[in-house]
Amino acid sequence: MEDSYIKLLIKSAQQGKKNAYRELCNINLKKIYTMAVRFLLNEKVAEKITEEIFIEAWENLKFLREDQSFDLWLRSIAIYRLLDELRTLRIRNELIDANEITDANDGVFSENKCENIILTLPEKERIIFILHEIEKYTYEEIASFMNETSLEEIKSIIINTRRVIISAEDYE
Amino acid sequence: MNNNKFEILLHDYFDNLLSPEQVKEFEEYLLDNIDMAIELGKLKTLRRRLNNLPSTFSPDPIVIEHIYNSLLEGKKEEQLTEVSDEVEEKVVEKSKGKKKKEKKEKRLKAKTKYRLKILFVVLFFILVIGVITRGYLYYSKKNKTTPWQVEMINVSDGNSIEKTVEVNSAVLTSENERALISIANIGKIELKGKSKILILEGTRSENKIIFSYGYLAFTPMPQNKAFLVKVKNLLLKSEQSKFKIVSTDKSYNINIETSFITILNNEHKFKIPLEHEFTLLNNNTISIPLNKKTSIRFSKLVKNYMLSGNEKTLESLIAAAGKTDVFSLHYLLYNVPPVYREKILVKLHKLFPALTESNKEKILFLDERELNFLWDELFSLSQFTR
Repeated sequence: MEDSYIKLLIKSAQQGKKNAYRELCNINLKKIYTMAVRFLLNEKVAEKITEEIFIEAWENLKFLREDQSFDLWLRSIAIYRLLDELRTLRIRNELIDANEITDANDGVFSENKCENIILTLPEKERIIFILHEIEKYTYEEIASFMNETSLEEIKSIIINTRRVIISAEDYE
Repeated sequence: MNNNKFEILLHDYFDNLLSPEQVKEFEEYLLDNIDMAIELGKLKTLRRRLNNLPSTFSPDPIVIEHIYNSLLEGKKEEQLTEVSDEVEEKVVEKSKGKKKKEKKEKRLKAKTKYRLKILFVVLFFILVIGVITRGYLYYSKKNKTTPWQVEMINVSDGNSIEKTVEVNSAVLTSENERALISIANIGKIELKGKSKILILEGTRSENKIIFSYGYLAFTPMPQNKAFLVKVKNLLLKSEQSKFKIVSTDKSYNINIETSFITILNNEHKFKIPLEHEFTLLNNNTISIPLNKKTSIRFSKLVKNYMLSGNEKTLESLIAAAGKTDVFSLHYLLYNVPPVYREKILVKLHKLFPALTESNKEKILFLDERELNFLWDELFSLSQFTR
């Protein structure tokens, strides 16, 4: 449940008060940005996409119902936007016959060993694992985000990735 | 294959995807399979670590500025500056600390605004309630009509005139006149001969008058809560009490017929019960209240003591007091030295052995609560023995 302060900010922002929305951005920025970095493996691109996510959310804020959680709503906007960006990057990389961003992480490094292992996972495994284990989405919800992936595949990826991380030498 | 099946089961169990029967079955299997139990432990450790995963990535504070600027400009998308230029990087790096501070301050500002908003709403409501209350009081004050019906009767010819009276007006009767005043829900007042009262408050719940002179008899109605009479600087409060006030050239005699009245002066609050009478003295005190059924000897001793203040008379008075005189003795507690207070207490206990052993010290120091408690007890005991 969102506290009354957040609710008031949302209500004010829906009435067009930009300062209230700025405060909402402040509160949620780090969370969305971290997810963007984990998805895109590039801090500069993650910053740009984070900005776009918040601007998109502002433009669609009027559609946020009172019974909806702002946090869940914002995260779903972010996930769709990030998956879209990954698709665009993939197409661009295919065109220039490079695969720097999708398969390898040479720009983002975490001080946390476990997170570092996640960041080195292939794109699909990484995204599905983050959505399930960090963002706490169910298999069905993940399938709704990633149309081209079946429930069985998601489940199999989760099991394999857990196995990979547990057995990773660096992790233990 | 078999192993793979159990591994899937392990993950389903870990993700709470099994039915209660399957859970039971799997837990039984775990008891016999230590390797699977170890795997489950590893999964739990992994989840714990993931749940506590620190957020190691922090966005540049400039991101917020960009979002906000985009909102201000009303643009759907804003071109992000390509922060590749080293010089610009340095500038951003330098401003990071400052912006972080600004960000924190701005966040505080928004919270302060929220609190101020709440405070403003509360103050506004207080103001509205205040205005309504003042308006009501102003209206009540302005509204001078009273629920008083006055019947002025000429004693010599029996003719009568009915009239209503307003707040701050006086009711006067002459030598051969009588006024019968009926107050809705409160009671009746009778004025006789040359009398005068002034109405200070006259509503269905609160009635307050000033008794100037003459004869006043008040009879309450059962639902009456309080009727206040100001006589000189004393305030008499009748709670279901029928009483009379008669003034002479020198004094005011007050006679209580039912229940009790409370006398409030600047120092104390006394209660005088039914069947007692007392006189209002010139120095705004009252005489020792006397029971109408008291002995002639006690009455004389009281009068002598009031005139002389002689301690021997006081001792005789205490000794001569009977059950009818307990309220005279109670009143004396306020007006005699502590050594006589102690004697009065002994006498009261002698007259009413059933009296609770009250806190003597507190009574000797005239503790209002303890004295009231004693009064209430005396009142119920004297009612019982009547």
